Amino acid sequence: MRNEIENADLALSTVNRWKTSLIVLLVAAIIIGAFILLEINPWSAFIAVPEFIAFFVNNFLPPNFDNINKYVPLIVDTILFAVVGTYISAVLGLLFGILLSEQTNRFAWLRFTVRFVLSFLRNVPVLAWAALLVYIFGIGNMVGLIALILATLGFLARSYSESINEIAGSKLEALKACGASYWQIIIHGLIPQFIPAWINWTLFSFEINMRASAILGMVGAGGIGIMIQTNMRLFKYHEALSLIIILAAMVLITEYCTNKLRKLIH
Amino acid sequence: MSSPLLSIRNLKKTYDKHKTYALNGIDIEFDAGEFVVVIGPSGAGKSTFIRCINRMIDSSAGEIVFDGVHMEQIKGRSLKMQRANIGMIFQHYNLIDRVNVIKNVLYGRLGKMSLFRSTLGLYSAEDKREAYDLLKKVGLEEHIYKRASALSGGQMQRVGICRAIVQQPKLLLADEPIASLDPQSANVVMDQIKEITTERNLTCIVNLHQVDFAKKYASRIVGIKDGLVVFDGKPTELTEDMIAHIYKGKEEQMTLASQQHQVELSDKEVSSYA
Amino acid sequence: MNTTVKLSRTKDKIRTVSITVALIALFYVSFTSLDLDIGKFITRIGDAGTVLSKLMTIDLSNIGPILLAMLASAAIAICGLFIGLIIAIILSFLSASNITPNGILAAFIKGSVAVIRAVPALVWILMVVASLGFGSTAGMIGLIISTVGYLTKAFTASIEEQGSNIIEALKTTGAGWISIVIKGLLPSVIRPFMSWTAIKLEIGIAESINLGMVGVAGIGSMLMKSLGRYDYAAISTTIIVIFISMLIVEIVVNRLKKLI
Repeated sequence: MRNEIENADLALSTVNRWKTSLIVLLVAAIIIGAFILLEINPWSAFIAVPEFIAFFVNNFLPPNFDNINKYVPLIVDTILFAVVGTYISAVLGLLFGILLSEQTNRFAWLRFTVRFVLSFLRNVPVLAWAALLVYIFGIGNMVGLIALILATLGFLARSYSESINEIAGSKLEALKACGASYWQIIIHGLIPQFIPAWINWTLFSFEINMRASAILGMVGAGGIGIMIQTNMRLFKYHEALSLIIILAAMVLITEYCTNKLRKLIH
Repeated sequence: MSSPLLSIRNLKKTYDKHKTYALNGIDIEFDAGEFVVVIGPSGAGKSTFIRCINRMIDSSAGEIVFDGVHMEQIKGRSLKMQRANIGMIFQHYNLIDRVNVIKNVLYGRLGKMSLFRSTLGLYSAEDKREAYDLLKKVGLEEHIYKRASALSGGQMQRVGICRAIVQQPKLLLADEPIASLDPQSANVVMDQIKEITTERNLTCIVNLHQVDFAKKYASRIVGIKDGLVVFDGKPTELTEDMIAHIYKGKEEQMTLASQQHQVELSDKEVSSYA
Repeated sequence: MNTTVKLSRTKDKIRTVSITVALIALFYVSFTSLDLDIGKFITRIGDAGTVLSKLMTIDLSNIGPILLAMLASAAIAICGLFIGLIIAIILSFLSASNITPNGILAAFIKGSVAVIRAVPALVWILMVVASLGFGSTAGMIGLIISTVGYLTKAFTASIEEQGSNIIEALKTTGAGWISIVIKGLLPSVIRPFMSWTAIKLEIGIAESINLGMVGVAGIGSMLMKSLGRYDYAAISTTIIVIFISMLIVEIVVNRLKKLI
């Protein structure tokens, strides 16, 4: 009896071992295949990285902050884009979050449609959206703003709807039992309970927006990114580096502030 | 004699398309002013039964006539209006944690208010006065501006009682109101439910699995087992054999409760000796 | 007592109202100082309709190169992830506070990682492209940098969260640094490591497509080219290929996360 169990354990572990080695082989094959497809020698990375560092030290350092006054409006714009974009996507995200959650939206066809649209938004990368919008509407800061909103909306709505699902279960049953209407349940029950999650996710999306608004300029949608790229094209690397440092500082300060805010709220 | 407040005929509920029945044909009537305790082990169908009355769960077959209205036939606005006439107390209190106590109580009025008025917080002066008086009655007047999440379990359930009563209901449903409470808070909560319903001659249906509490508070006990009514009578008529029959195979649920009760009794004895 | 009952304390009410007013004011000020070209945008909505209707076609004749380009984007992400992963594993064991061989080294690594993370991957790519020229290698290096930034932080946190007891136990047996890492820590952190790597794979493919748009290689640059040619059918076909591929990646990564 005991022997049988041990044998079974042994058999199971052999099967598992087979499975593991098969998975390892598969992963290895994919990685090797990727290098072959690109015709890259993995070791070239170890040559290229030092080359890049040497280039960086020789050409980018030191940063040149001489023209910084010229860029202040762009920096302010970048922050403003992130703020306005976060506001709008927080409101739209709540709306879509409610539409996406089966607790708050009983119509399966509508849930399905919203899920499909959001999945489309989320799974086409930001810059592709931005380029497409520039193509359709022409260059302009409205396009940059819309691209920012699209970039976070899919992610926010999904996170919001997960939070809504967690809340909606039992607590809201009480309001339903009082005879409260659908909208009364949402306004008096769901929204107050949802506020901490709302703040949390929205701060997170503000961080994403700060980075995104900095790069959207690269497809002509405004912000600091366009000047980084322009300077590089003109081989003004020292000036470009000064902008990159400012961008990094903005991102770090944003993270620091949002973390402080989170602690303040909880 | 007038017709009963609530009459239920052949009530059935299945969750898996007629394979098994949580409620298997319940026939029962309730009169105004009764304090009915429904007992039975967990899984017997108590919770399903009580939720079918105010349609938190839709029944699969049968009739529920409350206050002259067929509950199983109405929907939309008229369902909400009927629900507004039925108060409900929950095991997990189901308060909105982040909202203060007095607003939580006033949420009981939502069913009788327009969306516009409730969104702006335009509750009538009488409603607010009533909410305050109820909170004072249950001893929470010091806490009315605290967030619900800052209260203890027993205090939360007392807020839950006030929320149900402020509805001015004709019927009060309570689903395991003391199952998550310590024995002392459980006594306070049951005392207050009993006191308020007696004062207002309010019909009350309470689910409990603790037989000792049922005997202490009920004017009538209903025993449910496997989705059927197996006992319906006065607390004095509930024999030990019948209790054993209802809880057969799940005895630990009632012994736990009676143990709690014994601890309490001995506490009282100790204090009376001291 | 016959005064009316208030719904909330005046203090709480003032707080709620002032927060609301401040939030609305912040939005208003930001919105107005952005000087958005709403008017111009609205006049263009009409034209947008015609562009959109032109986009409503797909062209499958070119699907082969498009799929190949998508594969190249994924391959760039995988190569970058693979090399970045190895570097991140080494760096995370050197910098996790409970196992680091040297506090100064740990602080240096953590600081560098914070700097790497603060600069968006795309900006790194631009710098790499400036030094190495366009091509897959530049893309891979860019992704190595972003992978190192992302995974080192995640891995370090996993080690710091899980490792302390094991390290204590092994230290008392007199085990050396390498054997503590390999025998003690690696088995216990391998699951979170794999799950972070799976998440980074999804992010990495999106980044790889994005960096194609600034001209590196892969499906992003293909999209840019068809945009430049006004080849509507190719544009929508490319977008659909991107969407379906990313959807598959999302589903596979979610499966993997559950499996792990």
